[in-house]
Amino acid sequence: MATSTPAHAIERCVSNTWALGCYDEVGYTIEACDKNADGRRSGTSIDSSDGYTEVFDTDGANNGCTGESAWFAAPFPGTIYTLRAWRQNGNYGSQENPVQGTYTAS
Amino acid sequence: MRSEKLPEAPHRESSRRRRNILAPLALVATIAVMTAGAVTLVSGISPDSQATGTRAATGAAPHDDVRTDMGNDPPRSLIAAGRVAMSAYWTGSWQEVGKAEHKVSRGTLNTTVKRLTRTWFVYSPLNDTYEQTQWSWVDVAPGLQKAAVLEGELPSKRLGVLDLSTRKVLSWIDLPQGAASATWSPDGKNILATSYDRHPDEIEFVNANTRYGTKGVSPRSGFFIVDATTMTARFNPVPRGDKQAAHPRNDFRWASPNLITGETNDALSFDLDGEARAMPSGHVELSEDKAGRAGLSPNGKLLAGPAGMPTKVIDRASGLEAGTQPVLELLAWADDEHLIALGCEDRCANEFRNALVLVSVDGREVTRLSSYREDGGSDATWHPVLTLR
Repeated sequence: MATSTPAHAIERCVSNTWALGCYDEVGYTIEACDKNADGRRSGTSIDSSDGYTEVFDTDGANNGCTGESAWFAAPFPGTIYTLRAWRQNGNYGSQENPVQGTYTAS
Repeated sequence: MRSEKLPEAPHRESSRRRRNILAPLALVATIAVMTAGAVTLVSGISPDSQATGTRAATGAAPHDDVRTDMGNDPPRSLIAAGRVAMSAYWTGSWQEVGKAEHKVSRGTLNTTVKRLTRTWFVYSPLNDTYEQTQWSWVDVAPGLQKAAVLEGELPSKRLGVLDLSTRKVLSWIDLPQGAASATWSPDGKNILATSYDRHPDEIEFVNANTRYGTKGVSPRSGFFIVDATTMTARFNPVPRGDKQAAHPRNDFRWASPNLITGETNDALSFDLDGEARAMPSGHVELSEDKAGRAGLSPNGKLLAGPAGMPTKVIDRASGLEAGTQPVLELLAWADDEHLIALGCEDRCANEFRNALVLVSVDGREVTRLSSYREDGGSDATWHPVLTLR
């Protein structure tokens, strides 16, 4: 199930049992958080008109988070982007149990 | 069955412990059920089932031993429990193959293009150890006698069937469209090879932890079905669809001995002639949210749940929990009461420090089979391939 923050917020997040992914529309950072001890990394991506950018949680602790700058993919105010979070199948890079939401950049 | 915690190996050598985990007669029955198709959907659960899934038995002699190697990282001697063995493993390394520049709205983005190269190690029955190979892809057939191998840089133009006893290729077949993965069918009769126009493990990196991609069509062009007896191949082109992520690899996999699927959600499935087909009834039960990589037990009565500690095993008849297990992920059924799983070290302060373990359905018995991997989430570590013996 996708969840979103209120319209005035600057951080958008999607979440399910396994992963939490957030995008900061002001700081242009993407954060991937792992919510489940399963031996897999979680991943977060934003898909905007400037391409597809994904980051991964590198913290082995349950509920660990990793954030990265993604200025190059930052959507301009009023443009639409998709935020997605999943748990990564390490062997082949496939996305399992994905959750996503579509937003208009504020 | 009784299982006690095995002691750690005191030095760098393997330990070999033999314990009965099923009476031989029961194992024969187990394999008979397997061949009857009770688990025909098992390998359809996970997109990388060829790497850490299991295959249906093909009548191979039953094995009732447990073999461990806790002293070597990666393992050197056979790891096995019940009907399943670690037939092979791979390690990966990313190599720079170029640079890229992208004009984006807020400036110029420079990326480094890297390619993941896998080094494959296969268990040698002759030397009782895992040996490095020259192949760009390896998949061992049920029974551990043969392996399908791809030659040269991916996508490979040639597939061979290797005799694991002699390490000689029994026969080759050309793959004109190129293939970048190969996996045996659950019944061991056919080999599925996914074709790509270009190397599917080539990715643009912004930094070590950030990947970038542009929109485009998928380089996946279709799949080959190779008859392992006659060594004839048929290529089935498949509509390409959009590239979904920065990582182009999206291998087809077996949903049953006669059905191929190609997406995480199984939206696409094909018969061996490449015709689109509906997934068989019952597949929903094995969907990603409900079932894990291990799938159905050999007798078909239990269903292993998805990854995430504690894992669960469900009794299919009642729908109730048959047990929970203190492990990260259930990988394969060793017998009807035990599974090979990925287990954490100690209290799991770091989920990426994990090892292969044997766990009972009730979760009370956990026996470590391998050394702990330093970072199980890394491509550089060893990645086990489990196969029915």
